[in-house]
Amino acid sequence: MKKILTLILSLLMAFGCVACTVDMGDVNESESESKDTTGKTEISISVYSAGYGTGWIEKACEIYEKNHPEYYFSIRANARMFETVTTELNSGTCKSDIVLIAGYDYLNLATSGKLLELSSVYSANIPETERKVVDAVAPEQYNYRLVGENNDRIYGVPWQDASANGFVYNKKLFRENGYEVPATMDEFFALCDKIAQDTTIAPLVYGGGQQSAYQSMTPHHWIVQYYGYDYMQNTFEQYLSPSQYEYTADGRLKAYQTLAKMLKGQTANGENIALTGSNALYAQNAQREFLQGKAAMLTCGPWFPTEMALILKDFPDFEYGYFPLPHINADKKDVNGNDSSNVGYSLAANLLAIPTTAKYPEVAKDFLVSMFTSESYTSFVNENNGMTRPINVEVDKTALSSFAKEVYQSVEGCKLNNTCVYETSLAPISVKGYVGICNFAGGDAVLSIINSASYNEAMTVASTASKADLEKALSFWDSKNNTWDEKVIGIV
Amino acid sequence: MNGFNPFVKIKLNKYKNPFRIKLFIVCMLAIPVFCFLVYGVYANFGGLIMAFQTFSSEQEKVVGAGFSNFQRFILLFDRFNYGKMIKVSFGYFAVVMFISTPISILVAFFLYKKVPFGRFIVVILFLPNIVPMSLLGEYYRQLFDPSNGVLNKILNFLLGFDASNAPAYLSNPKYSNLMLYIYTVWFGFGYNAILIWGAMTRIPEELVESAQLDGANLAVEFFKITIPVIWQTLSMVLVVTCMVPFTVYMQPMIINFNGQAETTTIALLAIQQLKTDPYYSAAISVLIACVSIPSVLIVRKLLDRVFPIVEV
Repeated sequence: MKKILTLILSLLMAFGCVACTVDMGDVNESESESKDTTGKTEISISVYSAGYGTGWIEKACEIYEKNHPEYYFSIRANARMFETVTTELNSGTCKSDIVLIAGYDYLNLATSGKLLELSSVYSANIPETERKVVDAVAPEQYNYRLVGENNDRIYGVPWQDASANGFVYNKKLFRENGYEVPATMDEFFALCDKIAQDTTIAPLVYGGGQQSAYQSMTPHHWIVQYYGYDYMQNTFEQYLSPSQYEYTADGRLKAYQTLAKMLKGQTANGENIALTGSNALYAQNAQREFLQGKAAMLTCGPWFPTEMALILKDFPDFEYGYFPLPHINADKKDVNGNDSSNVGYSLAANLLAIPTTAKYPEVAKDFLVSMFTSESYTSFVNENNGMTRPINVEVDKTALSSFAKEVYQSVEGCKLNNTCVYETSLAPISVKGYVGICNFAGGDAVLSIINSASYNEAMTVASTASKADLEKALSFWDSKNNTWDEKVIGIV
Repeated sequence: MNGFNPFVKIKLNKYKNPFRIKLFIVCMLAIPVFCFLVYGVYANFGGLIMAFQTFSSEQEKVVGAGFSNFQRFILLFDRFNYGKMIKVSFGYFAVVMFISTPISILVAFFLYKKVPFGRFIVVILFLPNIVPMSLLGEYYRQLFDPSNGVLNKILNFLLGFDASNAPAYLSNPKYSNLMLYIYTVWFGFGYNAILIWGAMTRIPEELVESAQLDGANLAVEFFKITIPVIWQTLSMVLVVTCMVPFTVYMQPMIINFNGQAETTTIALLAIQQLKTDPYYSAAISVLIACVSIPSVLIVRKLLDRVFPIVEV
């Protein structure tokens, strides 16, 4: 009996050790795979990989290899690669030629000699075009990353947009019932009323138990739509004083209240808009409920097809599409009456960079430039299910999957018009992370709305959140000296 | 080999060791000493220096910051509700000290008294320490799934909720910390129970039999014999428990998605700051050490006075 118990315990311990050593998502394309790599030079890339997978970098490498057969790429990717790369760069042991670094590590790595200066990449011509790379990159993202005494050096190329998430919807249900994709929140709520009236399923499901149902940036997006690109990017992002939170109080309140109605409100016939239990569902569980047909729409991002790839095999007939966050105003105009239907929002991007220890830096630079070609960028957008980079490069929409096209078209307008508001303020109070477009929002306000016991309580939270944004900003203000509290900002 | 016979015992002169014995000792100690010097001394010393530095984006280099990182902690204390984080951290201490540890002692005592299926119980108790925390965390999270979660259904029944108004126990600040405390007790008491049970098995049976012959009941045996004899091990467990509020971070980080719903502890705050501002993170860690080290040393001294060391 003792021996059997010992054996069971040993097997369990061994199982535990195996589980510890399983590296979730590591992808190593080594030279031993199907490619013939004889006589070719290996270029090594290390990138972060999670919900979107590694298809985007694999395709980019394929395109480059096609045009440069003397090279082949080996890709190292997993969900912890940001930390791994930073550690390797800081210890001088990074063997990759190209790395993906987190935005918050950029300044430290760039100014400590760990990364190669990339002005030559930005001044290079994009192949088969007359444009330079710098002309294609969003100026806000480019200026945000300039360093040096004269702000004339740059060490990374922005990788991805990170904006508010939209909705994945049941295409077949919409088609059968004649529903149209809503362009405004008023249309969205009207659609929810129709769904509740015509069917027995919930209009919406969300994963409230995890990361605020991916709605953390929703208020930001709506505030930007409410006040327009010009004010938000050129004035608000200066963070001159807390009074701007007072000025934007109306839009802020409307944003939080709209969110409260979306997550906690009811339809015209008294049904909850969101599936019962949404407040406690985890993201993948909410996605499961959606696939099982319990809700018509799901709050989610473009990663849905990649993340649910295995589970979608069990639902081969399930048709799904994507629509972006509908406009907060019924007329799709900002507070000054200007059309803000193409105004977008995004955070500062993570960056592709070249370590100073790279073995083939010139090839790496050439590869980064090649990612700006229409062919390469189209593959990026397609492989990322429509997610874009903060760049303005033509995308061949005929090469996109239907889902990717829907996602891409939701941001196409802001790309073509250069009306994407980026959270790339250089104001020290913002760089330090104390204030942003929403202060109380992000996790706190959205989570409080999700956890509200009723719609009325959620509306109370919304009203509190709007005031709390101002209060938070005021707490960092030195009213005696009429400036942000320098003690809090510290050394800049 | 030149007459060398490895099976002949080397006679040691107690006043000098042969060179090869010294070499053997040095080689065996080299790696642990190296690890201590790198991970213990250098890492902590480096962290201490970092607490007094900061990265200047204007000068684009690391500069001396004096006490500004510590000042920042005080200035941000109310703004970012650090008091709540400290309260949450000490909540873990209270739960482990007053719930988990007594349960561990009781379970250990009954194991020591050879309850039926004792060996099987030992295996079950130790299982959570073998399974990786990420798996345990995911398993625990799924217990709260509103559709299928067992714990969700039990809590709804006990608290009078139904599906339409049930809260999100793990992501609602009203309940989230309590759920993590339950996890801490549920999956944590087993390790200490095994440790304490091991210490109890050292108690000589003659001592217990003699006490029983003198009329001692179970309670007398437990408080007068068992506890004093295992006091060295038990005091070590209590000292480690005193470190809990300063070191706990895994539960909110892994189960609650990096501290959502006000579950961030003070140790997790230091880890979160590591990404964006490692110098501030170092300052927080130094502050934690300034409180935790003397606290633990004081507790150790006090515990040494409770019972004398008993040799059996």
